[in-house]
Parts: sequence; C-alpha cells; structure tokens
Amino acid sequence: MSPEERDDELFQEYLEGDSALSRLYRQGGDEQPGAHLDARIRARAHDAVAPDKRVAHSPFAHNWMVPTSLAAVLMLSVSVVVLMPEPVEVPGPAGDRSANGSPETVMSRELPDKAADTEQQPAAESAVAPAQAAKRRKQSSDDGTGDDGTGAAGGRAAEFARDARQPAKADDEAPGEERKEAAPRVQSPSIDDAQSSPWAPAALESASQAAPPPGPMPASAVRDDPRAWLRFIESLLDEQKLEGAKANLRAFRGRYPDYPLPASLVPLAASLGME
Amino acid sequence: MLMYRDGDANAFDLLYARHKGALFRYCLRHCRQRSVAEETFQDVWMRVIGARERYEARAKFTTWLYRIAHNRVIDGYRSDNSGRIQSLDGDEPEVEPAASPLDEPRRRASSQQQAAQLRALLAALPAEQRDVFLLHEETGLSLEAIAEISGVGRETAKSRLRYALSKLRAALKDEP
Repeated sequence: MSPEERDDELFQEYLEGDSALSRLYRQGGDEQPGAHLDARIRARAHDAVAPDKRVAHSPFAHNWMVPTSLAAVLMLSVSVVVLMPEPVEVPGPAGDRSANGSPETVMSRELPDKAADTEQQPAAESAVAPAQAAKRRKQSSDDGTGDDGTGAAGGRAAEFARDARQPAKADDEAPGEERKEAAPRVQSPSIDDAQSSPWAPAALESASQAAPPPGPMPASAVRDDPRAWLRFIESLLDEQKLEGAKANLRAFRGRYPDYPLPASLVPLAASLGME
Repeated sequence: MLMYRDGDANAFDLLYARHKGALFRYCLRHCRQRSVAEETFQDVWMRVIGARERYEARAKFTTWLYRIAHNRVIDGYRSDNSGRIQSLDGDEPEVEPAASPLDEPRRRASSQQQAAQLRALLAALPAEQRDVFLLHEETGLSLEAIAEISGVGRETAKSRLRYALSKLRAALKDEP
C-alpha cells in the first residue's frame, strides 16, 4: 500500500469516526461552561419568550392590526356619510332656479323679514319706554307734526292714507311690487326709525324718490298720484298741521315741479317761495 | 428550536443542554482563554435567542448554530489586536509542528499527556484547519455541512481537514 493510499484509508476512518486521533481528542477533556453562564443564558432565553413580551410580538396582533384599522376607518366613513345632512334642493322651474339661487334673490327674500324686524322695533321701543312714546305723541299733536306714520299722523290724515290705499288697489295703477311695498311702508314708523335699523339704506333708497321731508308722509300710492297727494296736503292744512303740510308740499314740488296747485294750497306755496 | 421560537422556554433548555458542551469547547479551542471563550459562547447564544423569530427549519439546527459560532469567532479574530487569537483569513504562515509546543511534553507517555499534546498541536494549526477539525470532532457533521458553515466548497473543506490530520499525526508520531 502506497503512502497516499494509506493516507486515504486513514482519512476515511477518521471521517467515519473511528480513529485514534478522535479518541485521543475526546480524552483531552470535557470542558463545560460555568454554572453562572448557564443560568444567565437560560434566564435571557426565558425572558425573551415571557408572556408579556410575547403579547407585544404576538403574530395574532400583527395579523389583525391592518384589518382592524381598515374596519375602523370604514365604519367611521359610513357613519359620517349617513349622518351628514343632505343639501335641500328648491323645487321649481329651471328659469326661476337661477334667479332664486342668486344672492340678490336671497337677499330680497330676506328683506321682508328684516323689514318686519325694523317694523317691530318701534313697538318694542315703545314697550320698553312707553313714557317716551307718549311724550312724542303729545308733542306731535301739539305742533301738528309727527314722526310716526301710523300713530302720530292719526285723525283724518291717517284715515286718508288708509282710504288712499283702496283706490290704488282698485285702479290697479300701482304695479304689484309697489302694492307689496305699500303695506309695510304705510306701517313703517318713520325715517328716523328706519335709519336706526340695519336696513336703513334700503328704506332711504325707496324714500329718496320723494325727497322725504320731516313730518307725516302719505303712502307711496298716494305720492304716485299727484291729486291724491294734494288732497292729503289739504287735509293736513285742515288739521292745522302746518309743518307737515309744508314738508309734503316741498316734497310734492320736488317730484311734480309743473303740476298745478289747487287754490287752497297756493298761499302755502307762496309762503315757501314756490309760486 | 421551532418550539422555542413559538414560545416554549423549556425547549430552549433542552437545546442548550444538548449543544452547550460541544459549542463551548469549539469556542475554547479557538480562543484558548477561558474568559474569552465564555464571552464568545454567551454571545453566540444571545444571537440565537435574538434571531429565534426569524429561524426557519431549512437546515439542521446544529448547522445554523455553528454558522453563528463560526461568524462570531471570525469577528473575534478580526477585532482582536493582541494576537491572542489567530486569524482565520488564511494568509498567515503555517506553524510548523517542530515549532509547536510539542517539544516540551514530547517525552511524556501517558494518554493524558498525549491529549494535552494534541490540544497544543491543535492550537498551533492554521485557524481554517483547526476550524474544520473542531467542527468535525465536536459536531460530527458531514463535510458538506462543515463546508456550508465555513462558507467554502466541500473540496476546500476536505482539503483543510486532510492537512490538519496529516500535521497532527506527523507531530504525534514524533512522540517518543
């Protein structure tokens, strides 16, 4: 047997675990780690799989984290969609829809409410301060003027104003919109009250057509009819409400500069330097 | 190991009891100093514990364990600047048996003395040859598994082992 063959044979024996060299190696010693090292490693191993840590790294928790989150998000979304109020659509023709939806339309629809608020304001005011209201009424009755279109301008002027509304309705001279305006305007207390309200500009704009003077003013239907307005001024004169008559005559002339005055009002116009 | 991965701490105790002696000797033969060997040994087990959740039974646990140990020993060689641990990189000059510590105990004839001589010869071997010899002696793994642990081919592992055996036998034959 050649040395190479002998070497191969020894190597094969060694691989099979039956060699003198292996036996000698095993006789060399059976060293073991110390007991303290055993305890430390085992403790670390046990701590690593302790129940509290296993819960944190639980594969169950990992697997259910994403589905649970998705379910929560889905539930919240559905709740929001279901509970959210739907926008109310105003039924009506397509042509009117744009007009109704415009800011101007919305504003004009709100205005009567606001006007109603301003109309109620004097009543509330008088309720709060009845003494002041009574004083104001007394003063207006004394000097023949009044800042109140309903209460202060009582008597014939108020009756006339009420009567004047009827022909306007019957003749249908005033357009429908004006008829609508007429009612609140007759009831509107005064320009001063209107100025104190947040809607004063709107009231002033409508009143500026007749250059509103201080004193009782007839309804716009009356002002639109020069003869009716003149009769209203005559009634003021009859009731000795001179300042109111002057103010109305000035306003009348501002609006109808060439309209002939009746003979009963010529002296008053002359006193104002109009004729 | 699968049982331990799934939370059975007692499974680790069995695993540890089965492998601790061989692994400790593997570390001790490489590191030569007991304190360094204990440090390496503990570190290997810590890595096993830390990597338990990623463990998959694709190979024998022994192969996986000694792969970790082999890498840890290499890290120890590379980080040790004192020269107390020989490098496994393979470029170091081989230690001749004549220069080994065999000279001193050569005259002793008892088996214990021979075993001590063998350990001394083993320490004098190149690290790669020592590594394959220790892996074979301590684990009984096949050449393929040893090659896998060492990260080399089977023939390379076989060659290293043959060189180691030849040197050891030659040195022991010189024993009077």
